[in-house]
Amino acid sequence: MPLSDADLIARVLVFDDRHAFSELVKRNQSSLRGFLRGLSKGDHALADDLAQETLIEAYRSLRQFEGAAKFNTWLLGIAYNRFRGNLRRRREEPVDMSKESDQPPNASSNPHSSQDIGQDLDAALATLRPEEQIALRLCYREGLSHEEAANVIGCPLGTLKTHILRAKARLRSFLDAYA
Amino acid sequence: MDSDDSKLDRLMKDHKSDYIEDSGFTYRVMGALPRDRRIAGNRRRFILLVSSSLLSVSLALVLAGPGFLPGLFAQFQFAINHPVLDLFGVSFGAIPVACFVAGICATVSLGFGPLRRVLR
Repeated sequence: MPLSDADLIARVLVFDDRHAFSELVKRNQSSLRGFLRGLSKGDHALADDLAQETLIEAYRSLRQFEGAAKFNTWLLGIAYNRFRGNLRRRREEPVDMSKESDQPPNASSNPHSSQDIGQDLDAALATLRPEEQIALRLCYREGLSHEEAANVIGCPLGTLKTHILRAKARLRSFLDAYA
Repeated sequence: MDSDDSKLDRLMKDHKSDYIEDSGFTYRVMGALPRDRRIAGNRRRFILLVSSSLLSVSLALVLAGPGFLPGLFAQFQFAINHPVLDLFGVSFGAIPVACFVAGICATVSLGFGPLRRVLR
Protein backbone atom coordinates (compact mmCIF):
# COMPACT_ATOMS: atom_id res chain seq x y z
CA MET A 1 0.00 0.00 0.00
CA PRO A 2 1.55 3.34 -1.03
CA LEU A 3 2.42 5.75 1.74
CA SER A 4 0.30 8.86 2.17
CA ASP A 5 1.76 12.32 1.69
CA ALA A 6 1.72 12.79 5.47
CA ASP A 7 3.75 9.60 5.98
CA LEU A 8 6.28 10.64 3.35
CA ILE A 9 6.63 14.09 4.88
CA ALA A 10 7.19 12.54 8.32
CA ARG A 11 9.94 10.33 6.88
CA VAL A 12 11.64 13.35 5.33
CA LEU A 13 11.48 15.34 8.57
CA VAL A 14 12.58 12.56 10.91
CA PHE A 15 15.01 10.54 8.81
CA ASP A 16 15.83 12.96 5.98
CA ASP A 17 14.56 10.19 3.72
CA ARG A 18 15.37 11.45 0.22
CA HIS A 19 13.49 8.61 -1.42
CA ALA A 20 10.40 9.80 0.40
CA PHE A 21 10.90 13.33 -0.88
CA SER A 22 11.51 12.13 -4.43
CA GLU A 23 8.20 10.28 -4.22
CA LEU A 24 6.50 13.52 -3.14
CA VAL A 25 8.11 15.29 -6.09
CA LYS A 26 6.95 12.61 -8.53
CA ARG A 27 3.39 12.78 -7.23
CA ASN A 28 3.13 16.57 -7.47
CA GLN A 29 5.41 17.56 -10.35
CA SER A 30 2.76 17.36 -13.07
CA SER A 31 0.22 19.45 -11.21
CA LEU A 32 2.84 21.99 -10.14
CA ARG A 33 4.46 22.34 -13.56
CA GLY A 34 1.05 22.55 -15.26
CA PHE A 35 -0.01 25.33 -12.92
CA LEU A 36 3.19 27.28 -13.55
CA ARG A 37 2.98 26.75 -17.30
CA GLY A 38 -0.45 28.33 -17.16
CA LEU A 39 0.88 31.30 -15.21
CA SER A 40 3.89 31.76 -17.47
CA LYS A 41 1.80 31.69 -20.64
CA GLY A 42 3.33 28.45 -21.90
CA ASP A 43 6.99 29.28 -21.19
CA HIS A 44 7.89 25.71 -20.26
CA ALA A 45 11.51 26.44 -19.38
CA LEU A 46 10.53 29.21 -16.97
CA ALA A 47 7.76 27.08 -15.49
CA ASP A 48 10.12 24.15 -14.87
CA ASP A 49 12.73 26.44 -13.30
CA LEU A 50 10.13 27.92 -10.99
CA ALA A 51 8.79 24.45 -10.18
CA GLN A 52 12.29 23.30 -9.23
CA GLU A 53 12.79 26.37 -7.03
CA THR A 54 9.41 25.74 -5.42
CA LEU A 55 10.29 22.15 -4.53
CA ILE A 56 13.69 23.11 -3.15
CA GLU A 57 12.08 25.77 -0.98
CA ALA A 58 9.46 23.24 0.12
CA TYR A 59 12.25 20.83 1.13
CA ARG A 60 14.00 23.53 3.16
CA SER A 61 10.86 24.75 4.90
CA LEU A 62 9.05 21.43 5.24
CA ARG A 63 8.75 21.90 8.99
CA GLN A 64 6.47 24.86 8.37
CA PHE A 65 3.92 22.66 6.61
CA GLU A 66 1.17 22.34 9.17
CA GLY A 67 -0.92 19.77 7.37
CA ALA A 68 -4.14 21.80 7.51
CA ALA A 69 -4.28 21.84 3.70
CA LYS A 70 -3.08 19.27 1.20
CA PHE A 71 0.63 19.19 0.42
CA ASN A 72 -0.13 20.03 -3.21
CA THR A 73 -2.07 23.09 -2.13
CA TRP A 74 0.84 24.25 0.00
CA LEU A 75 3.16 23.80 -2.98
CA LEU A 76 0.87 25.90 -5.17
CA GLY A 77 1.06 28.73 -2.63
CA ILE A 78 4.87 28.63 -2.69
CA ALA A 79 4.85 28.40 -6.51
CA TYR A 80 2.56 31.42 -6.78
CA ASN A 81 4.85 33.49 -4.56
CA ARG A 82 7.87 32.33 -6.57
CA PHE A 83 6.13 33.35 -9.77
CA ARG A 84 5.28 36.79 -8.41
CA GLY A 85 8.86 37.27 -7.25
CA ASN A 86 10.12 36.30 -10.68
CA LEU A 87 7.66 38.70 -12.27
CA ARG A 88 8.89 41.56 -10.10
CA ARG A 89 12.47 40.76 -10.95
CA ARG A 90 11.73 40.72 -14.65
CA ARG A 91 9.64 43.91 -14.26
CA GLU A 92 6.89 42.58 -16.44
CA GLU A 93 3.45 44.06 -16.31
CA PRO A 94 0.46 41.73 -16.50
CA VAL A 95 -1.00 41.61 -19.96
CA ASP A 96 -4.22 43.58 -20.20
CA MET A 97 -6.76 40.81 -20.41
CA SER A 98 -9.82 43.06 -20.67
CA LYS A 99 -9.63 43.10 -24.45
CA GLU A 100 -9.49 39.33 -24.62
CA SER A 101 -12.21 38.55 -22.13
CA ASP A 102 -14.94 38.51 -24.73
CA GLN A 103 -13.06 36.28 -27.09
CA PRO A 104 -13.97 32.64 -26.70
CA PRO A 105 -11.16 30.12 -26.73
CA ASN A 106 -10.34 28.53 -30.05
CA ALA A 107 -13.10 26.14 -31.03
CA SER A 108 -12.11 22.52 -31.10
CA SER A 109 -13.02 20.29 -34.00
CA ASN A 110 -15.00 18.16 -31.58
CA PRO A 111 -16.14 20.46 -28.77
CA HIS A 112 -17.62 17.56 -26.87
CA SER A 113 -14.37 15.64 -26.72
CA SER A 114 -13.19 15.42 -23.15
CA GLN A 115 -9.59 15.99 -24.13
CA ASP A 116 -10.51 19.05 -26.18
CA ILE A 117 -12.55 20.52 -23.35
CA GLY A 118 -9.62 20.05 -21.01
CA GLN A 119 -7.23 21.73 -23.42
CA ASP A 120 -9.67 24.55 -24.11
CA LEU A 121 -10.16 25.04 -20.39
CA ASP A 122 -6.40 25.26 -19.86
CA ALA A 123 -6.13 27.74 -22.70
CA ALA A 124 -8.97 29.81 -21.24
CA LEU A 125 -7.39 29.75 -17.77
CA ALA A 126 -4.08 30.84 -19.23
CA THR A 127 -5.73 34.08 -20.41
CA LEU A 128 -6.52 35.05 -16.82
CA ARG A 129 -4.31 37.08 -14.55
CA PRO A 130 -2.09 34.99 -12.22
CA GLU A 131 -4.06 35.88 -9.10
CA GLU A 132 -7.31 34.93 -10.86
CA GLN A 133 -5.86 31.63 -12.05
CA ILE A 134 -4.70 30.58 -8.64
CA ALA A 135 -7.95 31.72 -7.00
CA LEU A 136 -9.98 29.55 -9.38
CA ARG A 137 -7.64 26.63 -9.08
CA LEU A 138 -7.61 26.59 -5.30
CA CYS A 139 -11.36 27.06 -4.91
CA TYR A 140 -12.67 24.93 -7.78
CA ARG A 141 -10.03 22.31 -8.42
CA GLU A 142 -8.47 21.86 -4.99
CA GLY A 143 -11.78 22.33 -3.20
CA LEU A 144 -10.62 24.95 -0.71
CA SER A 145 -13.02 27.37 0.92
CA HIS A 146 -12.59 31.04 0.11
CA GLU A 147 -11.02 31.61 3.53
CA GLU A 148 -8.53 28.78 3.06
CA ALA A 149 -7.62 29.94 -0.44
CA ALA A 150 -7.12 33.52 0.75
CA ASN A 151 -4.83 32.19 3.47
CA VAL A 152 -2.75 30.22 0.95
CA ILE A 153 -2.41 33.16 -1.43
CA GLY A 154 -1.90 35.64 1.39
CA CYS A 155 -4.59 38.12 0.41
CA PRO A 156 -7.75 39.43 2.12
CA LEU A 157 -10.92 37.40 1.69
CA GLY A 158 -12.66 40.20 -0.19
CA THR A 159 -9.77 40.42 -2.65
CA LEU A 160 -9.97 36.70 -3.35
CA LYS A 161 -13.70 36.90 -4.00
CA THR A 162 -13.08 39.77 -6.40
CA HIS A 163 -10.50 37.68 -8.27
CA ILE A 164 -13.01 34.85 -8.62
CA LEU A 165 -15.78 37.14 -9.82
CA ARG A 166 -13.53 38.73 -12.43
CA ALA A 167 -12.24 35.35 -13.55
CA LYS A 168 -15.75 34.02 -14.01
CA ALA A 169 -16.68 37.14 -15.95
CA ARG A 170 -13.72 36.61 -18.29
CA LEU A 171 -14.59 32.95 -18.70
CA ARG A 172 -18.30 33.61 -19.30
CA SER A 173 -18.18 32.97 -23.05
CA PHE A 174 -16.22 29.80 -22.47
CA LEU A 175 -18.70 28.64 -19.86
CA ASP A 176 -21.58 29.35 -22.21
CA ALA A 177 -19.94 27.32 -24.96
CA TYR A 178 -19.56 24.32 -22.66
CA ALA A 179 -22.89 24.37 -20.87
CA MET B 1 -24.19 27.91 -5.92
CA ASP B 2 -25.35 29.70 -9.09
CA SER B 3 -25.30 28.13 -12.54
CA ASP B 4 -21.93 29.63 -13.47
CA ASP B 5 -20.49 28.22 -10.29
CA SER B 6 -21.94 24.80 -11.10
CA LYS B 7 -20.55 24.83 -14.64
CA LEU B 8 -17.15 26.01 -13.50
CA ASP B 9 -17.06 23.55 -10.64
CA ARG B 10 -17.93 20.69 -12.97
CA LEU B 11 -15.48 21.77 -15.66
CA MET B 12 -12.59 22.33 -13.28
CA LYS B 13 -13.08 19.02 -11.51
CA ASP B 14 -13.90 16.91 -14.56
CA HIS B 15 -11.26 18.25 -16.90
CA LYS B 16 -7.93 18.49 -15.19
CA SER B 17 -4.80 19.48 -17.04
CA ASP B 18 -3.02 16.85 -19.12
CA TYR B 19 -0.46 14.85 -17.20
CA ILE B 20 3.08 16.15 -17.75
CA GLU B 21 5.67 13.41 -18.06
CA ASP B 22 8.48 13.55 -15.53
CA SER B 23 11.26 13.29 -18.18
CA GLY B 24 14.03 13.62 -15.60
CA PHE B 25 12.49 16.53 -13.72
CA THR B 26 12.49 14.70 -10.37
CA TYR B 27 16.11 13.67 -10.90
CA ARG B 28 17.13 17.30 -11.50
CA VAL B 29 15.24 18.48 -8.42
CA MET B 30 16.83 15.83 -6.19
CA GLY B 31 20.26 16.76 -7.53
CA ALA B 32 19.69 20.39 -6.63
CA LEU B 33 18.55 19.76 -3.05
CA PRO B 34 20.77 20.91 -0.16
CA ARG B 35 23.31 18.25 0.88
CA ASP B 36 21.80 17.25 4.20
CA ARG B 37 19.05 19.20 5.89
CA ARG B 38 20.15 17.75 9.22
CA ILE B 39 23.76 18.97 8.95
CA ALA B 40 22.92 22.49 10.08
CA GLY B 41 21.09 21.14 13.13
CA ASN B 42 23.86 18.69 14.07
CA ARG B 43 26.55 21.30 13.69
CA ARG B 44 24.63 23.63 15.93
CA ARG B 45 24.14 20.91 18.57
CA PHE B 46 27.81 19.94 18.44
CA ILE B 47 28.95 23.52 18.98
CA LEU B 48 26.51 23.93 21.87
CA LEU B 49 27.64 20.70 23.51
CA VAL B 50 31.34 21.48 23.26
CA SER B 51 31.02 25.09 24.34
CA SER B 52 28.74 24.27 27.28
CA SER B 53 31.06 21.46 28.38
CA LEU B 54 34.12 23.68 28.26
CA LEU B 55 32.26 26.42 30.09
CA SER B 56 31.00 24.10 32.83
CA VAL B 57 34.42 22.50 33.34
CA SER B 58 36.09 25.90 33.48
CA LEU B 59 33.52 27.13 35.96
CA ALA B 60 33.94 24.04 38.13
CA LEU B 61 37.71 24.46 38.21
CA VAL B 62 37.44 28.14 39.09
CA LEU B 63 34.92 27.52 41.87
CA ALA B 64 36.95 24.60 43.24
CA GLY B 65 39.96 26.86 43.69
CA PRO B 66 43.62 26.50 42.74
CA GLY B 67 44.16 23.52 45.01
CA PHE B 68 41.54 21.28 43.39
CA LEU B 69 43.72 19.29 41.02
CA PRO B 70 46.62 18.76 43.44
CA GLY B 71 44.06 17.83 46.10
CA LEU B 72 42.44 15.34 43.78
CA PHE B 73 45.78 13.71 43.09
CA ALA B 74 46.49 13.60 46.81
CA GLN B 75 43.13 11.93 47.48
CA PHE B 76 43.92 9.11 45.08
CA GLN B 77 47.37 8.67 46.57
CA PHE B 78 45.80 8.59 50.05
CA ALA B 79 43.33 5.91 48.94
CA ILE B 80 46.11 3.78 47.53
CA ASN B 81 48.26 4.03 50.66
CA HIS B 82 45.58 3.49 53.35
CA PRO B 83 43.43 0.51 54.55
CA VAL B 84 40.16 -0.47 52.87
CA LEU B 85 37.92 1.17 55.51
CA ASP B 86 39.42 4.55 54.72
CA LEU B 87 38.50 4.01 51.12
CA PHE B 88 34.81 4.30 52.02
CA GLY B 89 35.40 7.80 53.32
CA VAL B 90 37.34 8.68 50.23
CA SER B 91 34.66 7.27 47.93
CA PHE B 92 32.11 9.81 49.15
CA GLY B 93 34.43 12.53 48.08
CA ALA B 94 35.03 10.73 44.81
CA ILE B 95 31.33 10.69 43.88
CA PRO B 96 31.24 14.27 42.54
CA VAL B 97 34.49 13.57 40.70
CA ALA B 98 32.92 10.51 39.12
CA CYS B 99 29.89 12.57 38.08
CA PHE B 100 32.19 15.14 36.56
CA VAL B 101 34.05 12.51 34.55
CA ALA B 102 30.80 10.83 33.51
CA GLY B 103 29.48 14.16 32.26
CA ILE B 104 32.57 14.67 30.16
CA CYS B 105 32.24 11.18 28.68
CA ALA B 106 28.54 11.72 27.93
CA THR B 107 29.30 15.01 26.22
CA VAL B 108 31.96 13.44 24.06
CA SER B 109 29.77 10.47 23.12
CA LEU B 110 26.79 12.68 22.27
CA GLY B 111 28.96 14.93 20.20
CA PHE B 112 30.64 12.11 18.33
CA GLY B 113 27.68 11.43 16.04
CA PRO B 114 27.20 15.02 14.93
CA LEU B 115 30.97 15.46 14.65
CA ARG B 116 31.19 12.50 12.30
CA ARG B 117 28.48 13.98 10.08
CA VAL B 118 30.09 17.39 10.08
CA LEU B 119 33.45 15.97 9.09
CA ARG B 120 31.99 13.60 6.44
